[in-house]
Amino acid sequence: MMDDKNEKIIVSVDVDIKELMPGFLLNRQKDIKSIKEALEHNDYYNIQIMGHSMKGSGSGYGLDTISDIGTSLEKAAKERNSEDIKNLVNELSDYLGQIKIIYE
Amino acid sequence: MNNDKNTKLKILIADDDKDIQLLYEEGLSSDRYEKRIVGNGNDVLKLYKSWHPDIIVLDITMPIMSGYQALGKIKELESTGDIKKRAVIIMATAMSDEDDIMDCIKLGIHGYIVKPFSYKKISNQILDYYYKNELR
Repeated sequence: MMDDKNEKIIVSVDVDIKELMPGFLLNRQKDIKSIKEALEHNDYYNIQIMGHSMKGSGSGYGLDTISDIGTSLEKAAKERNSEDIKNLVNELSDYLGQIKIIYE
Repeated sequence: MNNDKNTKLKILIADDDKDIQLLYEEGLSSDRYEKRIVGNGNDVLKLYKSWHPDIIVLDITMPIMSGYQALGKIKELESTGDIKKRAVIIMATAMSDEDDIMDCIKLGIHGYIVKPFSYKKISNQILDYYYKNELR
């Protein structure tokens, strides 16, 4: 049986922002590292800011899942819920690993 | 207000998120605009006084000086007559921050944009607010 994490998530995105997409995805990879570091220092404020930022930008790039994860991340950081934050970081990491973008 | 629809509109955008800045760049790439994009409220105040924008788009959550704080300062500048040409002020905020928008409406804004926004629609949204307020 195929591991779900090996399955690709296909997302259609407008070709106009094709050039912007690699930078956006790279910044989310950087977010993963930054959130893990912030969590080690109990820096929930910065995690909240990063979640807020993802919430505000993801759907603008056609990636609603990023906005959804950002929304949950912001909430978890406000509640200082480290378990939820860890799960959301894993979710983000999986999503970035599985996503396949088709430009139309 | 800039009444000549053939001249460029000066638009000042404040958002500290580089990914959002790029979406504004893409969405407002028409020749209709002359743009400046900054990352905090302090720079907005400097450019409001020196560059005289027709439109200011302010994100609420920013470092150094938030959009809300900048809005308060803008209102002070306007009330003291330090600003010769008043801009149309549009706030940008995340969907869930309704309380923040209500606070801004109380201070006096001309419209607001909900993030995440569609870069394809952002120009029309901004122009709608601009021309609605131009007619007043």
